[in-house]
Amino acid sequence: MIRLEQVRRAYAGREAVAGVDLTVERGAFCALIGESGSGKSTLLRMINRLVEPDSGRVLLDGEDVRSLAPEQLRRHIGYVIQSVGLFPHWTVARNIAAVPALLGWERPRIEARITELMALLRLDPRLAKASPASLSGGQAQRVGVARALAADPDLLLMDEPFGALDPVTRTALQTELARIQRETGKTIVFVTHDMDEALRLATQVVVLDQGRVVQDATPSGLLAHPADDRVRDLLGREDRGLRRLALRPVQSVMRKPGPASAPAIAAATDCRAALSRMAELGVSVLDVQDEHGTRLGSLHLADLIAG
Amino acid sequence: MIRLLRPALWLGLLLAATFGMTSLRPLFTSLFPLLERPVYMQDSFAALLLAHLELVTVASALAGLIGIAIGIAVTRPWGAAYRGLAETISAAGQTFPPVAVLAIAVPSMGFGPEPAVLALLLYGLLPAVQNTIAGLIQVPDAVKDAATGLGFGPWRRLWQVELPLAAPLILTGLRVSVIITIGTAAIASTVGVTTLGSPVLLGLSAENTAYVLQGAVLIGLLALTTDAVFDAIHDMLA
Ligand SMILES: Nc1ncnc2c1ncn2[C@@H]1O[C@H](COP(=O)(O)OP(=O)(O)OP(=O)(O)O)[C@@H](O)[C@H]1O
Ligand SMILES: [Mg+2]
Repeated sequence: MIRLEQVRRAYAGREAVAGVDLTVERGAFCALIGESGSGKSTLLRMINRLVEPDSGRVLLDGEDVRSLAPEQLRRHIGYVIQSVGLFPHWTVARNIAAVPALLGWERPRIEARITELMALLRLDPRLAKASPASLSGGQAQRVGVARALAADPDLLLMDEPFGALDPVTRTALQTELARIQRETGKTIVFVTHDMDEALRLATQVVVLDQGRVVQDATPSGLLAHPADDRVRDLLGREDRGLRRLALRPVQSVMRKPGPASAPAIAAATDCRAALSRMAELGVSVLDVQDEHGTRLGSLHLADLIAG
Repeated sequence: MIRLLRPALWLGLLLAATFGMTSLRPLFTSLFPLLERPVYMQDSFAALLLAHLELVTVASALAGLIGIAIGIAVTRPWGAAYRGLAETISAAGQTFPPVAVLAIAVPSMGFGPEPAVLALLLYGLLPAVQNTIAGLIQVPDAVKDAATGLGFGPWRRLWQVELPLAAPLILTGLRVSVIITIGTAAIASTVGVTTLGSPVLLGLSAENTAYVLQGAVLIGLLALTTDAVFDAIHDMLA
């Protein structure tokens, strides 16, 4: 569990982080969101001591990070940045093995871990010997995430990890990250500019403005009760209704299966996609089916909108 | 193997010229018929070559080590304030003619290799310093940030990440430094150090053009051989 207590940090007299209190529970997926310069990266980098606060404390599981040697601390916290920062003179495999090597793991254990992580991130095993320069943006970012996960840290810090990717690759990686988080139960603190990304992935959304926390809520809490106009702006005034729908799986609003068979939709779909499908097909009822085609229920436009 | 061909060819030529110079007497006699002694005989050319190499190796190694150390120091957070100073001083070292350094150093250090090494060292420092700085600052911030963030300490980051990425530029700096030192080392003979410059200097004062030619050819071949060796190392790194 992470606790920040009244942390401040100024650069040349301007406060980048101006007195932040924040608690991130174990296993949480916390998104830090805010405009450029709002202090997201500075706050994130305080957790692994890449930035030292001028005042205030950062506690990890109750322990002040200042009581830990920075190198030791960082080897037990995963770190991913937007620009990836793969070591260009090392192969993909050696990049992934960076932290295990620092921790002095035995060779066979490192090899096994590389194979395991490449599979987890759906990287072609043939890429192990490739140089980072030969990777696509999406592949490089996957390697960056694998490198951060290598020593199996409980905590993962990610600074706009998918910022530079095209929408398709980005969505794919978001899905993988959500899967990895579900499977491993890691705590993730994630910086993003993208509200959809935050709402989609996070269990806790922290909105920052000029170094201060404007709101700290669950995605649905944020959508239901935005603290002020700055949050409303970030949520996009026109899109708020749709974004709320996107948080809800169709299964939560469907009725018992109806008699007439309507066009089908997968059970894993969210309500926004379902609404879009209705608009596309010009229907007001859809048939919810699981992956085997079993009819689970029927989805009515009125229920979608009533929420 | 192909990579080693060029340095091997130049080395062959250099050795042939060094050991075969004396047997070219008829050639020099026909070129310079007025000269009583058309081939330099005070020392063997092999001895001259070895002495020259020794001086260049010592001076270049020192210039390289000091230059790289300075370049590393001024690119660390604690040394960044001195970067301008270091660049100015090493640039001044090269603007200042080595002959002038000798003239200043000899009264305090005496004749011999010490003032020569000092003069060559100062002259060869600039490329080593400049290229080390250039090589280290072109390492992308994201790579350095990632290394620190993953738990590399400052020295480990330098050794495992920054220096390997800076190596090609640093090597270029060393190459320039060594090549200019090979040429400049000839002036060490003015302070009593035997080098390939000895026949050149004697030839100039005694108006013996054959001596000048013999020394100059060997210095040139040595420079070309060394350059080809650096080329091969560079290829191997790439
Ligand atoms: N090392 C630094 N030196 C000087 N100023 C800095 C430094 N790091 C951050 N700042 C300043 O602190 C403020 C917050 O920066 P920070 O990088 O935390 O913002 P951010 O929310 O991550 O922005 P972005 O979305 O653009 O990445 C900015 O005004 C920035 O210029
Ligand atoms: Mg940032």
